[in-house]
Amino acid sequence: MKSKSWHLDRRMALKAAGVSLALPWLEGMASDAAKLHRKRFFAGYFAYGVPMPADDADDRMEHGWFPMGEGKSYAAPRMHESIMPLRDKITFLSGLSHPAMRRTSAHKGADYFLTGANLLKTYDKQSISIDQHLAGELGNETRFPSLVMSSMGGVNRPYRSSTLSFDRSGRPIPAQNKPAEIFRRMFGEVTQSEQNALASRGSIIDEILGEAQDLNQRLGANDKRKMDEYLSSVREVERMTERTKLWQNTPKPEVDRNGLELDANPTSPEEYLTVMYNLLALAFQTDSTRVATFQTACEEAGLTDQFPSAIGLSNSSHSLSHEKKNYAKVAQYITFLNKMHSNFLKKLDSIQEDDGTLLDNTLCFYGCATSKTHQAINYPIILSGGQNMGFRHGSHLRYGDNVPLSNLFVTIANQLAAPSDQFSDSTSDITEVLG
Amino acid sequence: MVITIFGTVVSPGLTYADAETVAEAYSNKIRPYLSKYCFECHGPKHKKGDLRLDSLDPDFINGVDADMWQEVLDLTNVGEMPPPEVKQPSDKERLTMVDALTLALRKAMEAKRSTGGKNVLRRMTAYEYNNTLRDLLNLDLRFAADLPPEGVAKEGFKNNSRVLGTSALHIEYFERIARSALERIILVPSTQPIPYFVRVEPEEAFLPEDAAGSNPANKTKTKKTVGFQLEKGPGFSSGVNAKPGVFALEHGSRSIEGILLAGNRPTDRIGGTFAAERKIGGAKGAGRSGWQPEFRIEMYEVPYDSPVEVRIRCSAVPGANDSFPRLSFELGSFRGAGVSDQKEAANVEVNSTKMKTYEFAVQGANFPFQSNKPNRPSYFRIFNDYRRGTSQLTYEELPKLNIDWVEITCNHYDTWPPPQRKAILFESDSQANESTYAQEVLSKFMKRAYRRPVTESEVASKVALFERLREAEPSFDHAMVSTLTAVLCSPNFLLLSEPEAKQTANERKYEKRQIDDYELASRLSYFLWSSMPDEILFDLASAKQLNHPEVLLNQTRRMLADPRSQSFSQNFAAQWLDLAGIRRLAVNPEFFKFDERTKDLFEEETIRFVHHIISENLSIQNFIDSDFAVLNPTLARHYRIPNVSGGFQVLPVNQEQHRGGLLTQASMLFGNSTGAETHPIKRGVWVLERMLDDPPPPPPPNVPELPERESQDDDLLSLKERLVAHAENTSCRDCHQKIDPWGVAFENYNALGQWREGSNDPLVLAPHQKVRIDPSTQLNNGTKIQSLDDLQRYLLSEKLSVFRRAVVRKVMSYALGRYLEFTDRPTVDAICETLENDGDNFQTLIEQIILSEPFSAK
Repeated sequence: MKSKSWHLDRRMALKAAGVSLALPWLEGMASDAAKLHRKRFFAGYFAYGVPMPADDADDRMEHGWFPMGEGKSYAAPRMHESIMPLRDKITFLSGLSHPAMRRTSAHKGADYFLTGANLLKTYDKQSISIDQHLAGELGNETRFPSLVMSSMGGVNRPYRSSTLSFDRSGRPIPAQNKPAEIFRRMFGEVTQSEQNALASRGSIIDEILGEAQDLNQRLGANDKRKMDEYLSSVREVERMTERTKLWQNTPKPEVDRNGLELDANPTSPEEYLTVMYNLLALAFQTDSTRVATFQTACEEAGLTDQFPSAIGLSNSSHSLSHEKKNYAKVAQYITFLNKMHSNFLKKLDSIQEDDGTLLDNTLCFYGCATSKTHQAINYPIILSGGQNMGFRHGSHLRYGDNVPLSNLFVTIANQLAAPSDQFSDSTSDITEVLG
Repeated sequence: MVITIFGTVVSPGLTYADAETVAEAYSNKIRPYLSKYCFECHGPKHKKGDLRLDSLDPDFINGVDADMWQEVLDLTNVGEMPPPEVKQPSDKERLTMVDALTLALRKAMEAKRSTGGKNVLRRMTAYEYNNTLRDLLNLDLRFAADLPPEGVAKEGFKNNSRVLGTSALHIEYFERIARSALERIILVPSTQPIPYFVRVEPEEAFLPEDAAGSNPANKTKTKKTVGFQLEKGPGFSSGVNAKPGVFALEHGSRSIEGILLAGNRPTDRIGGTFAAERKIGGAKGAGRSGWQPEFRIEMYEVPYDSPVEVRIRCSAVPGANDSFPRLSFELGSFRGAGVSDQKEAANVEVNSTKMKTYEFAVQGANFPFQSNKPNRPSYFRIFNDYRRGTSQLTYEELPKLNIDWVEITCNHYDTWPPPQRKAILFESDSQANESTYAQEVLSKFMKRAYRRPVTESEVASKVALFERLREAEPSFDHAMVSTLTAVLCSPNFLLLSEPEAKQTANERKYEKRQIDDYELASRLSYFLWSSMPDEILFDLASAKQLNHPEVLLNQTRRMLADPRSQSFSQNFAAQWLDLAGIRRLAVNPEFFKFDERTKDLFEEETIRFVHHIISENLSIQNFIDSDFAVLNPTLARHYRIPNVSGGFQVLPVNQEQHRGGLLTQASMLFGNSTGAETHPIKRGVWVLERMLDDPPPPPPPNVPELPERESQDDDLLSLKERLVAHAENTSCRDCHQKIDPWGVAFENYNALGQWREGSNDPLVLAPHQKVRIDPSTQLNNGTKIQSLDDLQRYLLSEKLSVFRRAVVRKVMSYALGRYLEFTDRPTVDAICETLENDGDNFQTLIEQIILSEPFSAK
């Protein structure tokens, strides 16, 4: 390993951030120009909305989510204390929502948070999510086009999605939820077996696609629909294989797994969320991917509904979210989630890249698709980072309840990818976030 | 704790098939109501909220306004519309309209998902994939562990084609899993790995003066721990550890042949029948060490990922009442100070007083056998799993396991290369010619993998693939691994499909047809075994002998008698009864002192109960009430049933024990609680959904909440009273009268399913013990129910035919892997009739489904 002083400094910085890293190839391989202006996007989701005491309530600042006041002079409630050191790099947004789902009976938020699709009529007719739209462009230069994570994993079922990401055909992309597997795929040593697999995969895919075409000719309409799913999945693996081949001579980044609790699972929420956020930071830091989503909990009974146990609460997060008077407990819980999120942002901000911090090169979009108790309007949203993509922060921006969230997605898409004037049901864009 | 009140008002007794058509319902009930109460504001004149109800599309199935109709239903349901300032409908009018609209929407939903009553191809579920690889490769590994979690169907089963998606990530894992399994089998070294061998004669741990007298139990029985260092044998590698391993014995006593293990320690005095088992030391509560005498072999640097053979020479020293010891052993490893991880590998009764050698073969990879640090040992432990439990047996009365010696061999292969390799790469005269040999290998393998004969061109295509791959791959074996990986990623392997014969485009039609014998063999095996057909089924299919009623019956009986049928009991029971509910819920530590591992037993009790009914061919009425229970000592302690010792067993139960049937099992009672208190609504919905197949519709949005029980104040309301008090809305009350009584009848069972009565539940922690328990209730049809006994009697008399039909529909839906449809109704009717005349036996039910037309039609 090289022992130049700048290398040591870097590792020191990383160690301070809780992980130890060596990145021989990054500095060696990427040209200076390519290292500048890397554009990255993160979308995070939490479940069940936020406490909203009335503006004149005594506990408004103690237990509320939304800031008081607008613009730069807003006052942030106490649950945001952990993020406030980054005040200049974050923006609070209120009022936005997806119009088609405003009257929904909630709990479906993860399904459409990033797609804006109208599922009320169709149940499962999805459209592409903003992260995958961006991955179409940002994903080309990295080993993985995107990283899709959730605490529950898989896709679960329509209306109770356990993934935020949907591909171009509207198919849910299964989320990964096992830290050890996420680590293996991104950083694990490429085994002899994997090398063999890569060498033969092209031929194997040709072969099974041929078989699938044969079979397809002998199927009725219902069967064909299921077969399509298989076919398009194999074709996607084919595309991934081409990409992997381009990368096969580039060693995976060397990441020290010590200090990462890769065995953590959702029964110990704090350890689990920490390692998942750490893996996200590592994925960006090593430029393994530039697009990632993380659904911290599924809006369904299950392990992730017991996350409040992390701070000693026996209530499920769902039951907490129904509280209408005494917001102390639910505020305590959201404070905990906020701390996990802000630790992630701080970690990104502690990592220096050539043109700023990793946070400056990563636009982070974090929030939920309900505000207070199951109201699918006025999403609580924090937008952070991405200064090098033109985003300007430090304010609380308040919008009317009729403004589509997709307008923000248009702006994000324009700043991070090819210009477009439409995403889902957008009516305009939102340029205020650009300062 | 908050409880959602379901604000729906459809009568659970109504099913759409009995009702009028949607169009009739619309014109007779829905439109007249809307016209009378809604059009004034939401009509041509005012269009309030930009909404006109008079022009909504009344086609619920194909129309564009299905979602608006849902909204209309929700707002009517919760009484928000019409608003209070305008003319109000009577309760009866509202109820009639809401019932009609609910049924219309349900019918529309079913129409939308209809497949015309035909099976649709589907991917194997993760557990089917696992079992299929196990049987195809003859290798018992946990193949599916890293697959993305399977979608969870809210209704229906996991094997329903509709909920089984396939993604790129799935394909990536299918390839990875297949390749690594094939490499493990085919790319083996040319010479056999050195076995890692340990033999322990436990008496060597004792000093000579400890030698047993005539009554071995008297000798050294209070001795705490003895042990010795293992000798370095030829199997031990010369790794970093000077010590190859340690033998340790805790609380065993010397016998003439070796040592005696009891299920409990000699000093483990009973602290009262239902006192918790003592825990001393041990591994963070995860292991069994502490209260059970233990025979442990600690080993360093074991080849953990290898076949392990365990040979144990032992005999029984019977205890009181002719009881016999249970030989249980587990493989594990120490993970850190006081932390260990382990899994049981076998648990069998030893009922011979003569010394016998018991042999077990397991895969080390299926156990947490790998040490995580070089200086931490992997270990092997034996317990006598006959436990004192809730009996009053003294130490002397417990049956003992007399162990002469133990041998453990890792890297155990009877032959080399291993049989799994030889099954695929068999000896052949053509071996010299790679392509010819590849053709033979592939023909044999593909036929089993595709579960049907393969055509010459299918094989030729794979041989061509092999030849292409062979150009780059270093050896025949490597190229064969890649080619067979392609077979295991093929849609013909991964998808359970029943394609048509090849047809030209203009004669292509997909009429309903009889499936062929191979397709039938797969339907049978995935139904009863969750796996591929075995050789017997393949042979019958090949001879076209399978599709005859008497052959099908014989095969069904054979398959149900095969241990693989446990997959049916486990997967069907877990999905039908929603056993996952146990994991979704946490026990509130403010209410109960609870050992999390007991949750596993809740699940196991129900699965074993269902399996007992199937394997003994008992009546499905036992699901509602039975005169037996399947318990082990820990569950008996949980349920406060005395005199249960030993292991899992089928026990007669009497009225006073309040057990019998699924309705009294903790899996249902806990899974439908809040984790602290009972939840009559959840329990009621469970009965309607799972036992009567009559699920109430989901609650409308923003229904009122039921607040947490106030602390122990004097005018404490029973949960039932709180339910009533908070269902102030007429329409809520109407509906809850149809759901809640079913759940209220369970009020004698607390959140953990333990019996309680009166005004105090001593099994709950203070200060939550005070409750008012009142299981008396009145069903919507006026039937008075005093207790669960009453409800069980009612279900088995008045509701028996509804229950029977529900079970038939559930099993049939699982058997077919699809939702049942209107066209299946005659079949269901016929099976119900046969079942009724045949004592409601479970096997009859399974046989009738297998003989039915939908089971062999595509």
